[in-house]
Amino acid sequence: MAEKLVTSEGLFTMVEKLLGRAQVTAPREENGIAVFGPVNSAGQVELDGPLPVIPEKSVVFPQSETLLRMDLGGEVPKVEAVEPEGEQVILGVRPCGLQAFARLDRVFLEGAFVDPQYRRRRDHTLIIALTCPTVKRSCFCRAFGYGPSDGSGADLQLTRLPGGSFHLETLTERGGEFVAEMEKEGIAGLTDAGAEAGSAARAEKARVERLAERSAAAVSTEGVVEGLDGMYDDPYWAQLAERCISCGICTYLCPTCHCFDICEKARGPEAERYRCWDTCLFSNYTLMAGGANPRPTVRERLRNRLYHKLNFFNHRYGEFLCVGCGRCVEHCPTNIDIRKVMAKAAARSRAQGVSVNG
Amino acid sequence: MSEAIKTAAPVEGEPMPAELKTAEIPTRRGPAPGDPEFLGALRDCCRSLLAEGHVQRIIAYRETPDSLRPEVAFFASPEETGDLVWDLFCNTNICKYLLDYRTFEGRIGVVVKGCDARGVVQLINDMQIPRDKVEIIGICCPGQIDPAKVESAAGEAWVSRVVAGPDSVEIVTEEGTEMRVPLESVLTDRCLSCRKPNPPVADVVFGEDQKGRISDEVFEQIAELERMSSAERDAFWNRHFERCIRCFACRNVCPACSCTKCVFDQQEPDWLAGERNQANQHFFQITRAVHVSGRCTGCEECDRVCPVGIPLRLMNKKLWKDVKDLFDSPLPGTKLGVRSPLVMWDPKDADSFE
Repeated sequence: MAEKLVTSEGLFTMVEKLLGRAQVTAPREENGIAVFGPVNSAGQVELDGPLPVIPEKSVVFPQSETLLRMDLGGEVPKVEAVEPEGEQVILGVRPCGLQAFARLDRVFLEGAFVDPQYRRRRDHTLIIALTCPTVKRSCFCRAFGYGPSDGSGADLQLTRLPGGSFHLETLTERGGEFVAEMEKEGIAGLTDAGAEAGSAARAEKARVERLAERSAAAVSTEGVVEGLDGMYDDPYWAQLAERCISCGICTYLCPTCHCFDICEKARGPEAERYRCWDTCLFSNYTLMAGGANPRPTVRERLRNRLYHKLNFFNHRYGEFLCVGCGRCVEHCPTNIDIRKVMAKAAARSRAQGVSVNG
Repeated sequence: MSEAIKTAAPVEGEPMPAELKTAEIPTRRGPAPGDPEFLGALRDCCRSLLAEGHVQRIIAYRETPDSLRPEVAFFASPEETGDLVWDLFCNTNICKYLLDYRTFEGRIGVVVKGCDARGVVQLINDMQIPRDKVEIIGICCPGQIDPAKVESAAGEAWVSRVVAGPDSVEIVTEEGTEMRVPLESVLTDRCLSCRKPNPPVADVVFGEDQKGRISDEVFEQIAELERMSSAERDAFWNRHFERCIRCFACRNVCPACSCTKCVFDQQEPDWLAGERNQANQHFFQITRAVHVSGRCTGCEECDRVCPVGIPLRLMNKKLWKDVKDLFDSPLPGTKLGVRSPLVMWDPKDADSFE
């Protein structure tokens, strides 16, 4: 596919152009914290910062969104489905974010029910990925079979070159159309990438892949699913839960956690049905009418999250629901580390002599 | 605010139960963090408390392979205390775990910094746990290090360990390179303006009283907020509240949040709906701030754990400043037997109840 070279100024102009025609979400800084959020000027985009705390998922799965609008005033209530509108561009998606989109696609788009909200947003979102500028200690993407330069799933991929310019790679037809459109606009600083820029980009990708090697040595998925198969009633979960404060940080910052609650609200004759993020770490998550709760304590709730990431999803979809972004590792107020859970499960699997290759 | 309110406080509420009147002065002192004897002495202290049956559980920290992130640990027997650790990365405020032991038959030891100890005292003052059920193992805290600041100082290299000196820290990377940076450049934000690093109440204390770091930065920022017009202030907080993901980590770590059923978890009525809009974001943040004001110990654990960097300390400290100015009460958690002026009443109050 086509390779281009774009200067920082050229990229700035491209973002400015985009702002007129789409909702642009990109990494930006807020009070010293990097987040993915809507931007309204190109100057807000911060591509050199750390992995944004708020994950990419909010672009295709917002924290709350209206599903139905109702008018209860007449004799017969009027109900109207609300469809997301407009075009979106998400800029600076990291490889872990791309992997997360692929997981979310399986949940929302595979099988008998295709989620219309998600489908609409996904179809109208152009994804511009970014090769990770660095690899943190909390990153463990390599454990899941991809690395910090892997642009699979993106329409376009940016790689920051040592000189400050970006290598821009077209990965899909939609990405190609976007580049053609930008060329037609005559963006200064957007040129064909010569052999030199191409090899500089390959060198940069190789460099960050080498950085990620370090985590590959420390974290492995081998035996994790099998180990967990036999650990459901292990006292380990109670020990881990003792420390868990049952907040929503790990799930809300997780790029693949996708549970939601459906609620309604009414004011006068106008009513709305909406959905909003929910988390299995909250006691209300499984609370039933009448007060029964099948997950009454933190032990069951934390265990559910970890099993969903490292076992349940594998049994259903054949892959992990964790992509190794490290957000939960870095932000857990009490330092609960999913990599240690993986190591524990792997050790159990080895101890049981379960075949991990079969 | 009327003069009457100012002169009405502090009021004597109902008499405090006897268990709150335990002596505040520690009887024993151990070596300070940084002293080569410190960790051994702390482990010995915890070991013997468990071995001699003075406590049945100790809440402290345990070493992990990631030396920047020790984990909170619960020690039930003397043999387990071999990997108990206390260093400058014990950021987590452990006082809140005492609530899990409300019905525990036995005494609990807690290894606490100045800020954590205020939380323990506040829980005692709020009648959540009796004083005699808690063995307070206090540490005069030289300040805690923010792992994110160390990692960012090390750049692309991975940090293997950090050796802290009195004024600077040495960062050793996995590759074996060493670099020295000023201690203040890697301390957590809350420690940079900590005025009370010493446990106000303890049964045993490690180290001599620390001076703390007298920075007026937070109060300068508050003064700046006070000078704003209400529209500007509204815009300021809107910008921050907008980011709130409502993970409730601030509430869950807060020693002043001890309700058995939080208003935000109630479903009938559903006071705080899940919908993300300005009204809900404000309702959550402001309700919580007002609810804890007068009992907020200023530990700033909420500010530390907030994943999206909402400057919660500004809101909490502003409310604390107002409570202090109006009622002349001590910082919550610094004195046993003190009730917050906002949670007590007196029939002789200068203001009428009508």
